[in-house]
Amino acid sequence: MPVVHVPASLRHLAGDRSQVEVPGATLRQVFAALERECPGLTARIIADDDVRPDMAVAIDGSILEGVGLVYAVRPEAEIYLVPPIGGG
Amino acid sequence: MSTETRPSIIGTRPVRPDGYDKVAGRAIYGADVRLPGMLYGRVKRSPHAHAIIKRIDVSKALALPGVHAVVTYADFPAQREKIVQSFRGPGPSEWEVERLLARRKVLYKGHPVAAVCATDMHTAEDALDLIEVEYEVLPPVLSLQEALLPSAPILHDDGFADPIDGLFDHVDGRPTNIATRLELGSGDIEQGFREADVIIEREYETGTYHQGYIEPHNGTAMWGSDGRLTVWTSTQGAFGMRETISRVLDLPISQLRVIPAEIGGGFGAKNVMYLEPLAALLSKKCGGRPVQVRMNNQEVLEATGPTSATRSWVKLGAKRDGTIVAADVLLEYEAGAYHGSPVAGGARCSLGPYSIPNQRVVGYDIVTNKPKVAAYRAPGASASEFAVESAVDELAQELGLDPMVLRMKSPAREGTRRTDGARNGSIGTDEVIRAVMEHPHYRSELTGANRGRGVAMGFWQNGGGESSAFATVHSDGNVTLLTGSVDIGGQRAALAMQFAETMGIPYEDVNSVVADTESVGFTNNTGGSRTTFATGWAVYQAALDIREQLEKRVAAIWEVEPTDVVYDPAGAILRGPGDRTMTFKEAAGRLAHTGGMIQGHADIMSTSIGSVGACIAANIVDVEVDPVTGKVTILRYTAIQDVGRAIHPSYVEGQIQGGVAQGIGMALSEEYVYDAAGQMRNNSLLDYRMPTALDVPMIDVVLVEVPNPGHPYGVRGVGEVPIVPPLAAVANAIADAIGVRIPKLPASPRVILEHLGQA
Repeated sequence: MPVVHVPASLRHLAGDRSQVEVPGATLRQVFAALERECPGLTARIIADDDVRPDMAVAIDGSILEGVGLVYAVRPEAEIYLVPPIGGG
Repeated sequence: MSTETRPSIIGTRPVRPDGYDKVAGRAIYGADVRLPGMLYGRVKRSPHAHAIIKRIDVSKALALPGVHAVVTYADFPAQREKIVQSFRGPGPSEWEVERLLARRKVLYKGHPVAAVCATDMHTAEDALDLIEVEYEVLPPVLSLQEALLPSAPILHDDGFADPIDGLFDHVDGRPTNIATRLELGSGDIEQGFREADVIIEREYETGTYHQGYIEPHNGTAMWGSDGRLTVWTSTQGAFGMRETISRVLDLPISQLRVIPAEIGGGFGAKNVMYLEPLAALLSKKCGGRPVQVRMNNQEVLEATGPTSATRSWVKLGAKRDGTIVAADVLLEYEAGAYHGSPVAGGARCSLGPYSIPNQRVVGYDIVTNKPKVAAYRAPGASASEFAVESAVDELAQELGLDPMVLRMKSPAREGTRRTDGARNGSIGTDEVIRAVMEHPHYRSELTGANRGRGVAMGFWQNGGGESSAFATVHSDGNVTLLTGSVDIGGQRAALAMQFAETMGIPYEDVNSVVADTESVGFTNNTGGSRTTFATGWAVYQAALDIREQLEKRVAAIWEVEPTDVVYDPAGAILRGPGDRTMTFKEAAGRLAHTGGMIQGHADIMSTSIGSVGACIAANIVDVEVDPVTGKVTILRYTAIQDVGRAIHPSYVEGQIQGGVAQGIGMALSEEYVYDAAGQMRNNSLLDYRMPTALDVPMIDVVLVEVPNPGHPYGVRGVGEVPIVPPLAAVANAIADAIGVRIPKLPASPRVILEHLGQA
């Protein structure tokens, strides 16, 4: 199953876990399962049916932009939630 | 992915299309815009760093002959959404408006409280004195130290209607000045330090620096009789500006056209709106007459976003051979009056040049009574990497290792997991380190009293994002190329070169134009070192689109199958059955009578079709310190950088030299100086001491080319990382010269003498 790595600032919403294994074939399904597992957590990740602008998602090592919740993830995907960087 | 193997224009140095007009003074910058009946606006600003607004009376200003309108916070429409989401976190939407015109409180000296427009600038200036504002002055918070004291005044003590989870979390039931906290890392930090043979622990600080662009902010607005708003402004992104203006004015983006003017520097600060909505509100009150509002340089310094002052704590653990096994970093960044410092950039890049199995980076975003910070070239990275690269230098001394040999022990490579959890793609760390160690500068002997050599590395992740391009083939075989990317560093040339390369036509046959928001598709701002990469992808795709259309059209002309015709960019020629050929120019001349002209376009999300290549840089610098005056003289400077593939090497070299010059300013002379009341004491370009040509020697540049496989021409962003290494490189050189480390920048003569015990 995909593994979501929870940033330290959100671990209080994940029972102090640094990673949570949840099922899902798309980001939407993964985050839906994450919400069932850790109620309240995805409000800090998702807004308006998209990943929040203050949250970047790294899937299998690569930070993805603009892919939306429909993005397909591998069964063994590793998903990191990281603060985005603004450019100068 | 298609990969071009026939570079002929890429890597050459043609003249930039905007060059002559800029040199001749004919380029139209934002303040050059002139419209019939235009009024001129000025902004009334707070004289206090922290105060409650008790009363604003604009009646006397409105009575002044020549004055047409005055606006305050109350003139903004109610914000539709309570919370505005941005990449730096959610915040109350009213704060976005309060930053433009204060509501209940002013939060820094220069905070706007009202704007006025009149028939001429002098009348508008006189009207400012007639706007009466009554304040209740509060004690200001002017440093990180003060902000974190339990007794510190709280900037946002009034809370907000609906507290936002994670923003200004309360401690013991009381709000603080800490807006947000972040933590990144991997491995086992405690175990990592247990495995270390040597551990060092240091603290560093950096000052508040301004980007130093030479063109002040400006905005011109005019409402049409159809209710549509047009804005002219010097901005790094017309589409980004359209989005933020539409939000605070509650205006659909389809009713708003933003025309980007020529821009006189930005370095991140011109991603931010300051004056445009004020010009729009004033114009609306004047029946739609155009209104132009401009800043002067004092306003730019006092009331636009500089970068964060910072404090950093670094702990490094290494094996005897120099392998770094643990790194623990704590960053505190000033955000200014509202949340949103670049601490995430500092955190994610701080350990970027290295592969460290156990690492942790904690960052705090802290508000103070200073203007809200803005992006500044590799936002956040210069400060955090100054701290880490200084500590690495001290670690090398502790271990008795050459500082570059130490860096060779733990280099970031492809596949290295970064602090943020992502993994590096192709990255040129080894190539850059090797280039440093083989460079004649590094191998040369430095002699003489009070002289020292420093080295440091830098890392920046670079950006991708969304870009659009629209190309029209003319009957004479020339092409007009429209993109939405504002040209700050030679992008028009770099994009035209990539387009011409893909088509196989001369660079001079491409007219590269920066388009407004109604002439091309959505394009992210020119920032994050993204444009040559991402919009480069768009122009490449637009050229492929034209090639495909030409193949079909020429097939129709020849009455053959489309698959029988191939566009060959080598010679810009279409080839068909039986050795039939038609040049691009010949085909262009026949378009009008064979089905019409051809346009190519592309709208791309660059990271969906390619991948961003992170950037590594290194600097070598020799300095001499005068022990009597404390002055630091730069004797020799070499900047080495992995640039992927240099599309236009001259502009890449220029980006590197410019970034290094700004970094030298941060290291030695630039700094905001505030008095106890929060008044900036060096609020002119004479007293805010940017380096001049007399302070900076020729900066030798070495371009290391490790092509990014995620781009058809191997492009990596190059514009930001050059500002990262200079702070630590210069500080390390000073330490080598005088045997005393300066942990707080800038290392001005006063600071140097203090550390030498001679102040």
